[in-house]
Amino acid sequence: MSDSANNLIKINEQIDATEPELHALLARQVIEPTAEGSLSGTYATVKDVIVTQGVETTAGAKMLKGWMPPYDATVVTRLKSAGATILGKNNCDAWAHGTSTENSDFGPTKNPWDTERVPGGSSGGSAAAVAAGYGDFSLGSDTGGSIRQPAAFCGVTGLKPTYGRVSRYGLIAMASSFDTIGPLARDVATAARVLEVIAGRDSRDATTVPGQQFRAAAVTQAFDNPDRPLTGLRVGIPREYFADGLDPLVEQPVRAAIAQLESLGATLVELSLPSTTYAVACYYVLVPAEVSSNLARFDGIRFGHSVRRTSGDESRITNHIELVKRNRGEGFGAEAKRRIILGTFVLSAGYVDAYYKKASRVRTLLRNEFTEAFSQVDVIATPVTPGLPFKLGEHADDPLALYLQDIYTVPANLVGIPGVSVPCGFVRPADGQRELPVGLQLLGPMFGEETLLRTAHAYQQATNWHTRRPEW
Amino acid sequence: MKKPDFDVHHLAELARIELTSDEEAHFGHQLSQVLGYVDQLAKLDVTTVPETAQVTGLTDVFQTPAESLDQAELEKRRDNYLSGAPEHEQGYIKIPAIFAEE
Repeated sequence: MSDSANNLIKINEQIDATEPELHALLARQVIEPTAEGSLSGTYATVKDVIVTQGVETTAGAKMLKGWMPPYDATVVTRLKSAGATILGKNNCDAWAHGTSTENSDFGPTKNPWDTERVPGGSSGGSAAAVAAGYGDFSLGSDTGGSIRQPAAFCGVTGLKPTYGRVSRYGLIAMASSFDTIGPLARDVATAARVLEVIAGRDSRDATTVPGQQFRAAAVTQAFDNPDRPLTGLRVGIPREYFADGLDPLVEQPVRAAIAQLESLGATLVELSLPSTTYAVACYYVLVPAEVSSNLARFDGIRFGHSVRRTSGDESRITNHIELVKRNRGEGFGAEAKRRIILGTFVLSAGYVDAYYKKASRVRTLLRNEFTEAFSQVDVIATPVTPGLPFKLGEHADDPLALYLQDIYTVPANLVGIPGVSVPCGFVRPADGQRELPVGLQLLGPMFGEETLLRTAHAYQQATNWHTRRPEW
Repeated sequence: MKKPDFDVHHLAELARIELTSDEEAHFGHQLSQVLGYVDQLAKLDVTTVPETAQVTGLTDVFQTPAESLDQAELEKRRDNYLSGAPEHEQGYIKIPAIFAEE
């Protein structure tokens, strides 16, 4: 038997054993590769916001239960033609709205390190699947931290690429000027191999930027000076990311990781990104605005949840608008409804200047500050999250508390830059017995993935946090 | 920023979502908290700062011409798309009347 077939048997045994408790998958269905390539012999799962032809795709939302997409997303086509085998679709917060996967309309995913805790979100199923050994990698999506935050909570590597690097054709859109698709994997080297396959201009996504090469070999080639591989690299430490609100249990391993970067040859540079404190407010104006617009297409007429199909009292609906309102009232969960209503408000006549346009200007401030910072440093190092993975239900029904979890991840989406989350330690929380992973976030300038991932790879060559696996 | 007149019922009408009265009260309370937080943006004077709507700077991106398809392929695709609709007939999607008969 080939190594690959043998691996598949082991992976399937792992999924059989852990999936009933984890719930990291929605559909479990094999999608075969269409050609041999650089990912031949690898196994993947794909977040359920990414469409797969003929394989149920729901975005974690009741609205799309049973929907069979008539086409593949570009990233899926590229994985298949690079030789990867897809094993299933990952659970996620419905429409990718959330930071815990508790907003999935099909029930939450559990954190494989402690099943009383959330795996993060919205790509929580992807991160849990990679941590639990469901293949080599997963594709997630990141609009405000949805790859990096669950990667940190589950002890895996997660990359949010530069906006415009990877095609979103076939991604169920959340906020179109923020959405990115990227890999979650056990290590940076694997994430780089996946990025090389999915990156590049796509005529079906007009926001993909032409002429930007990414070579995985540039990340993983041998270091000239293996003892001090980061010699000459300038790493920025923004003080606003270490201010009040950061759990000391998270800060300690992140500070230790930054010290490790220095011992690997990097020069540390203290800097300031003063508008960081406004990033969450800015994000939760602009993103709901785009959400309300993108989710307007789900009306249950052409596809998706319809009371015409499901309930017995549809006969009283005699006009089109009533039907659409009923379909949407039933098909959307609480968080989607909140975001649509908030987005409708910030775009409505009388308020668009005070909210949407104001936030669009604050977005420019953030961009200017990062541009200035990257004139002084090559990479910026920060925590991924202000706290450790929290318990299921701990923040239930408190949207603002959950939104504030995004403080360190939303700036990258507001300005478009790439960011990677890598495991940098394990700590025991005050309210639990099991050790939980902590993530280090590294940010780079637009299209700076080669240097960004080279830095993260050097860190993983010198440490073994990323090799730890949860026990079952 | 003036204190908003946050009318969940009206906004849900605009967004074409039917909400229960419990949902209206609950979401109204939660979203008032979120807006209270967002109002910190009022402290910033950004009147001279331009807006950012996209981050790539790309302009005038043109679509490549669509592939031409034969009749059989077109019909296959049409049937495929229609298969998601709850009601369709003779290649058309059916919906209730938009205007009521007087």
